[in-house]
Amino acid sequence: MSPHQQIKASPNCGREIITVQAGQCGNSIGSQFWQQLCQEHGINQDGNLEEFATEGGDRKDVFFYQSDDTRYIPRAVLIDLEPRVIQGIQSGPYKNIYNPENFFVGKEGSGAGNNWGSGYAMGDSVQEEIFDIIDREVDGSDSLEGFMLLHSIAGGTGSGLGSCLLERMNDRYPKKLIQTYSVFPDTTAEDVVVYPYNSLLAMRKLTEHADSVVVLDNGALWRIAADRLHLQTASFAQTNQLVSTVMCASTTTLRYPGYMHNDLVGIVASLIPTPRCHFLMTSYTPFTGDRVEQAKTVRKTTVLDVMRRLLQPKNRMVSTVPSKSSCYISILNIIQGEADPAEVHKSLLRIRERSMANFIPWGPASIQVALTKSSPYMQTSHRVSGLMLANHTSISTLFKRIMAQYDKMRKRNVFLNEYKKTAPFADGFEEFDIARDVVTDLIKEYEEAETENYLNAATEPGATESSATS
Amino acid sequence: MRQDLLIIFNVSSLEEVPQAIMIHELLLALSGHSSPLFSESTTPLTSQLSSAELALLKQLGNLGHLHRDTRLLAALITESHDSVICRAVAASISNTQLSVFQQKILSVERSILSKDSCIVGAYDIVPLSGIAKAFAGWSRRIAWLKEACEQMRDEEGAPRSGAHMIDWLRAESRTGFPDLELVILDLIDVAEKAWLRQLSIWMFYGRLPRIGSKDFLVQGESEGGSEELTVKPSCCPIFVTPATARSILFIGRSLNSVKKLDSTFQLSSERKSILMENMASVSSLKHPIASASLLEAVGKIRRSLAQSILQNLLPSIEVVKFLNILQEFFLGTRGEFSVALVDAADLHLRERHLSDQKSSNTSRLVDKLIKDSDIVTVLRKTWAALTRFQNINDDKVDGTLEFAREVIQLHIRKRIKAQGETGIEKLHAMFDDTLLAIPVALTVQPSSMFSLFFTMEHSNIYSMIHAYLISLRRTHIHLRELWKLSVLRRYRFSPGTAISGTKDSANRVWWAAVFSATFFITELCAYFQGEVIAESWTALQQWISKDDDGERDPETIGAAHHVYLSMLRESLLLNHFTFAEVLRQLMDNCNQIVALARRLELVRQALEAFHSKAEDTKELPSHLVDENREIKQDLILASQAVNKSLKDLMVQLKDMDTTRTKLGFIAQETVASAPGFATSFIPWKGSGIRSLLMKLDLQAISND
Repeated sequence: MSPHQQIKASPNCGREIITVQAGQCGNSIGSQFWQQLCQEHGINQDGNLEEFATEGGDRKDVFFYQSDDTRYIPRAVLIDLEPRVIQGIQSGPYKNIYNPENFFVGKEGSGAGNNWGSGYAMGDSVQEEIFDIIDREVDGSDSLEGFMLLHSIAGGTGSGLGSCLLERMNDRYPKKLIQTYSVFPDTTAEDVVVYPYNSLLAMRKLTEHADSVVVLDNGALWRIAADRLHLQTASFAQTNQLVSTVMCASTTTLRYPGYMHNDLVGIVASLIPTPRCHFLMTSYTPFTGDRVEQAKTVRKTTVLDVMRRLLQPKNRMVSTVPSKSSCYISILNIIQGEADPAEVHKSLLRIRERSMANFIPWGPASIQVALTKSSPYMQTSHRVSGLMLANHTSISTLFKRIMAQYDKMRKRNVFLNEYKKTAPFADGFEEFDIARDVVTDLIKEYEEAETENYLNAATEPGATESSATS
Repeated sequence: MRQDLLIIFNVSSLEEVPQAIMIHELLLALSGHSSPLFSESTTPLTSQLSSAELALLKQLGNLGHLHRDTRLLAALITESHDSVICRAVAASISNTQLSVFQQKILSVERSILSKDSCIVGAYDIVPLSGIAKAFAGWSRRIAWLKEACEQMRDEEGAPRSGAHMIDWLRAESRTGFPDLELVILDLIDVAEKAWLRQLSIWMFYGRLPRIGSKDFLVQGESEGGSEELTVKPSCCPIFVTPATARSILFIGRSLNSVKKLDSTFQLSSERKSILMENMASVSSLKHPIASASLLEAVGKIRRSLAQSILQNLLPSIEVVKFLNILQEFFLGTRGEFSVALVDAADLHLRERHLSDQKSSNTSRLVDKLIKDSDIVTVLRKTWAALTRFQNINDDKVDGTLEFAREVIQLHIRKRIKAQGETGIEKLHAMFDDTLLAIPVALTVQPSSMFSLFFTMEHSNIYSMIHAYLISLRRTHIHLRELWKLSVLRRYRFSPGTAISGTKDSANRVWWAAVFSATFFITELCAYFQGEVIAESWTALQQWISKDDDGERDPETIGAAHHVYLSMLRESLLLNHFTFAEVLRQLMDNCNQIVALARRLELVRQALEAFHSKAEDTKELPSHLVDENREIKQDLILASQAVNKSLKDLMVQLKDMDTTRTKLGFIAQETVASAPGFATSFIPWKGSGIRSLLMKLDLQAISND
């Protein structure tokens, strides 16, 4: 694919995306994301186009709409149950770009107390107000393609309220795609004690109601910050920066469209063969000084280097423990910058020849590469940079870890009282059990995907149906 | 002639009458008159002759016959032949060549009468051998002249072309007889001058010859109201190379286009001086014409035309603008056009389906009643969608879009059956009905200016490529839409129900097949669009814009464009019927899966609705359950068909790759052998399909 072939994508296919950011984490990564998007498109802090931003060829309307006075306004809905982070955004440098009517802060401002149940219940009670905002955004878009939900699953608001919104959005707009950027907890050092409960409950909803989930795991983010960026103690601001970098990179094909992967469904269709396996992991390289000050180690950036590094587990933003049978289901590499298609071919050939990536035995070894333009308004010290979106079966090991932690706590029945007080658990802990079943099923799905029998072993249709009901 | 002979008779002092009569008869016969001397029955005269004399007499008699036949034939051809060139040659044969013979007879006669000792011996005896000797060598000449006349007609007496005559004369000039050679060169001169006269009228005024138009190398064929001009190779003499012929065609065509725009054009003084100059260069040609010097003369005329007029009339920027339209709308680089067209077509199909259902009894009839106006609506909606999209993203008026709206049309296509099953037609028929379920074609109808370098054939190729690419794109779009079918893509864990969203092997099987097909088509489209089309176009565009020598006139651009297009066909794998056939199968199989999946969605929705309403009922409606099961079985079959097609396609691609490696790059030869396209343009060749193959690597499927 030629890197600088600009092509305007479809009018009717649905192209616009509404971003819903929920909870502290969701809003922090969201605000970083919008800041970087503005910079990449040459939009200043008031939402006006910078004078130098005349190059064109980008699609700002996917994430922004233009107000009557031609300012660019993010299609963003900012939701939290406690005011701190949102207030920060409202007083920050980019406070003027948002539509002031798109902020929603819970009236009590007390937050969800790191409790999925209370987040979910509060979400239920305020959903009308929130959907007033979302519906208005939907009406204001010309041909909406879908939603992006930014949240973490460890706490209360992002996890619980996020789950509730996910479910409702799915009911309300069944034809629209929902992609989430979900920050998973660090299973080795998480501040929130009850994170296994919250995570497992949210994972059920992600399994059932999302089209694709980009998994970002705090453990891996901290590891990358330490190893790659040489930060002894990374802050949330820094790991959130990593997340927003990944988000920006993964949306470049939508914002600087090429021939393929220029809409969300294109990305989803090229990564997710069977709808249940929709949890994606990411790698990004290189992280550098212009993104994160301290890292200046990586200098040599050929396409091959980039593509090889993307395959290295240490660059993955998810901590998994791959087994021998772990394999890729699909890969989409988004290469930004001055990449020559011939270089891409060479790199792909090398990857294939040396079997650097193992693939599922029942489908194509799908490594797709999208070459996109990088923003002309951002200075980078690198010729090329790359993001890998990958569907890899080892992601199930992360789910297993969380489930093991959950089982440990559940066995001792600790901290359950707080949950019992909330609406979803008023009648018992069935919600927990279902969530655990769903996640067990999900893990099994990934494990089966590693085998040749994935397509035929499972069982006869009739038998499978009954097995699913058990 | 007869008078001359009478004089002989009167003044002759020959004593023996029989001899005088015989000489008289003999010379008369040689001049082409019938004579009793050579009649079938033996005359008393002949009975008196010795056998040696008889043989000599017979020889002279044959010459006389020959002369007479030739003269008659030449006269016939001069009057009635289709070719002006043949007429000129025949006239020259009777008026020049045969009259030399006539002169010879007279001179022999004169010699006899003046008792020239060369021929009249002692006692005034004129030996027969003396006369025969005087005409020695003429039999060959006359016989050849007769053959020349015969060459102008075929075995059945139908006229042959002037070009054939010229070629024949040129070949004959190497017979080795000096006397014949002189005659032939003379005739070549005549023939070529006649040919040049026709040519000049065309090259200076753009007019086809009134007489002998069938014989002229440029032929006008009326095709649907507009006259399509082509070169007829069989009417090109040997010294007209294909390149020269193209230039000739181009010059006349340009003149015609210019005249249409500006009727006073030929009268301008500037034009007149150019004409004088051009005429001089044509008339300075030496005969027999050498192809190099003709090419040079024609090239000079073409250049002066291009520089003086065409640069202003059709500057290369306009050419690029036009090519750009083809690029964006036919080759699909304006992606939103393809998507909008597919959208509009789908909408049309749905509407048609609905109206069919309403009048279910007459549905077959409705099928047949699709009118061009329905199809025009599809394109109109496409333009509307594009304009709307344009307004959202840009305030500027999109000139290209406006231009495209003027020249691009969508209409029902009539397939040309059997007759001249060209590759283009065959391929076009293979993909023309995917969009609207009936054969349609997107065509470009540019203003006559563009016909200077853009022919009907080119237009057909673009329509065919469009049908091919849009079919691929459509399948791709429809496959992707499956990821938006809510019920199917969501996994619902609902204890106690028989509905599981995506989990069971049947679902895995068809999703996996859809994924593989999507992957294949995505990579194929990416290769076609991102690599082949984009790079080829870049190469052409760069070549056009790099006009160092001022040579980029419409004709050279046309030649480059032709090369570009034939290369493009090769690179888009359109020279491989079997591949195209299997690809079409894949499309059909994918459509099948898409249709089944949509049906499955409806059934699932019904089941879910039923379930949410009547939670206590364990029994689901059996017809829905049955249908659910049936569709799933069909889906498995359809998936197998898709996988089979994918496997076949991979085999085809691998075959192509091996063949190419073995034979070198076929396309290069294809381009080189395309007649008459001498151009400095080097098309993009790429690395072939190897890179595509490497990306596809459908091992898991191929090993199935």
